Amino acid sequence: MGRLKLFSLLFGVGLVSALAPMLVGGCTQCDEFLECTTKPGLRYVECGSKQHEFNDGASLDDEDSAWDYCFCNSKRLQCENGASLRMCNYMTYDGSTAAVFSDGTLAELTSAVAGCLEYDGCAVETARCNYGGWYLNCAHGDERVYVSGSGQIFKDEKNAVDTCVARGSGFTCEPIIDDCEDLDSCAISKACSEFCSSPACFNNKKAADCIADPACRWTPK
Amino acid sequence: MTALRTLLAAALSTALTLPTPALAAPAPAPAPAASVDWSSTFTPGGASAHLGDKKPNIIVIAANPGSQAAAATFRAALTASKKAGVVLDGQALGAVDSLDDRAIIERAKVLPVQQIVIVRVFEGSPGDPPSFIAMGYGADGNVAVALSGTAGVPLPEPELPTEVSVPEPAVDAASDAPKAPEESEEAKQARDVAENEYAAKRLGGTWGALRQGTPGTPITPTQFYAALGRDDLARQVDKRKKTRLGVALGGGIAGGGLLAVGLTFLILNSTATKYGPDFGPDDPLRGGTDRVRYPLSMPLSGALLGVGAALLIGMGVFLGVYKAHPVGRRETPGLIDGHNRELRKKLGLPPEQASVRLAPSLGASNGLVLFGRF
Repeated sequence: MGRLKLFSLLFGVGLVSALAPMLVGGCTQCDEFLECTTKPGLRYVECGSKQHEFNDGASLDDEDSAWDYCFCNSKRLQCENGASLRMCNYMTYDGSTAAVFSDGTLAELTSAVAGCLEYDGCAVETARCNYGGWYLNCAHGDERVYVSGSGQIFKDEKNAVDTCVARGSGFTCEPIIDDCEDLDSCAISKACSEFCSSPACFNNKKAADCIADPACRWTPK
Repeated sequence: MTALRTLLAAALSTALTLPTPALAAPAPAPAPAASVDWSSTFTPGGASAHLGDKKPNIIVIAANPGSQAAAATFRAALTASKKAGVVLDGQALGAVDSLDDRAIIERAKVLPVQQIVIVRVFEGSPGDPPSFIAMGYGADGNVAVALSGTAGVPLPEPELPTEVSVPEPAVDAASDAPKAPEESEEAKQARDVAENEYAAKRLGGTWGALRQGTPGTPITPTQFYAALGRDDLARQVDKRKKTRLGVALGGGIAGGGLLAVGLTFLILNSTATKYGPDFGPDDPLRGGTDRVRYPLSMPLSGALLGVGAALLIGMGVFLGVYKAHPVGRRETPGLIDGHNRELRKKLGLPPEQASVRLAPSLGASNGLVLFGRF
């Protein structure tokens, strides 16, 4: 009897000491995912206070690092004056954007990029992107210049769109405008070239064709 | 040993009481006719013949169906004799019909009595009166007296040697030999003192339940070896106890802790998917994990669980094998017997020997009573 009591006591002590952290900390559960903006299709889930999981396989312990990985591109935009800029897009979270200069100064994204590249102005484009993808459409005199989230500068918009679209099976090409008349020219869109009325995006069977078509967007069904 | 002796005495006294109606009715009989008059059998003088002058408290127990009247008459006769102290009936013991003498004595010895008399009545052949056997025991369970008789036939008065009382244990079969010269009063007293000392110091019991004295109080292994004069073994007991405690503490805490930690994380890991990250049914990249990551992985948790269980099992086996006793189960009876023999020798008492004694039982139920000690 005495031995049984001793054994029970020791086992109880061991059990309680083992379970104490769990009882105090509670069981780990994960929050709902957030749509990220640094890479189209990237999603982020926070589990407890130390586990931050991404659906591309990345796993970060630090919350700030995870937040930056989700919303702020790691590649910096080189400014004309020698400074650099880190672009952050929180539009999938609260609709805001931000830019962080190399000296730590915070600014609004579009004006900061325009100032950095000495452009006339920029606007965030998401219409032809899927998930949280985006790029900047900037005016540089009479020209249009497109800046990807990762800081690449393109003259052709389809190249910038290509950086903000996730490809996947089960995707389809859908119109983003109701009338082909909204385009500068129906000839620039395969979906509008045949009948310049309602865009026939379904004609774009391949992702590359859809991405190149200004009347359409490559999106999951 | 005492119980065995008692049982044997009771059984043999029943069987050898010849000629007796008991043989004609071997099984306990139903209640004899109410007309049986035991008062002529149990006279105050006859019933109290074996009592002496110490006025012991006595309990008289009716031990089979139909013996109540005889027991009640026996009690009344003892009370009337004024040679007994308080005379109790067996009511406090509850139902005893299905018990043997040893079990009845176990129940009765907690009462403040010095003698326990167990009465059984056996119906005679048709037309014959019932007969009885009354076994008297001391509170230590030793047989003190055996009475037998037939209803209607009075027990002999004290001056007639009609019943045989069992002599002291020291007097045994050897008494069949020519009688030794009478002991002086001083010698008797000295022997009584020695017997009392022996009774207080003798060892008994078993390896797992050691006792000292008569009937015996439980003693620890350390006390046992100290009583044997084996201080080296007593020290070993302490040392072994400490070792056992250390192993129990170490094994219990480490094993229990590892088992608990392993089990906890095994359970957590098994439910890790349930509470793990969910990137939505349309997850475009499908490269992330679906599990909550815990500090201990599933294989590591399983390994800890196994190690913990092994430690606990090992501890249990060790405690089962490594007893506090430095000597084995089989050696203990030899140590006990050796000690008791030495003690008797040291006290100047004759050695205990296995013996069988046959004694006459005269009176209404003439016959023989056989007592054994082994």
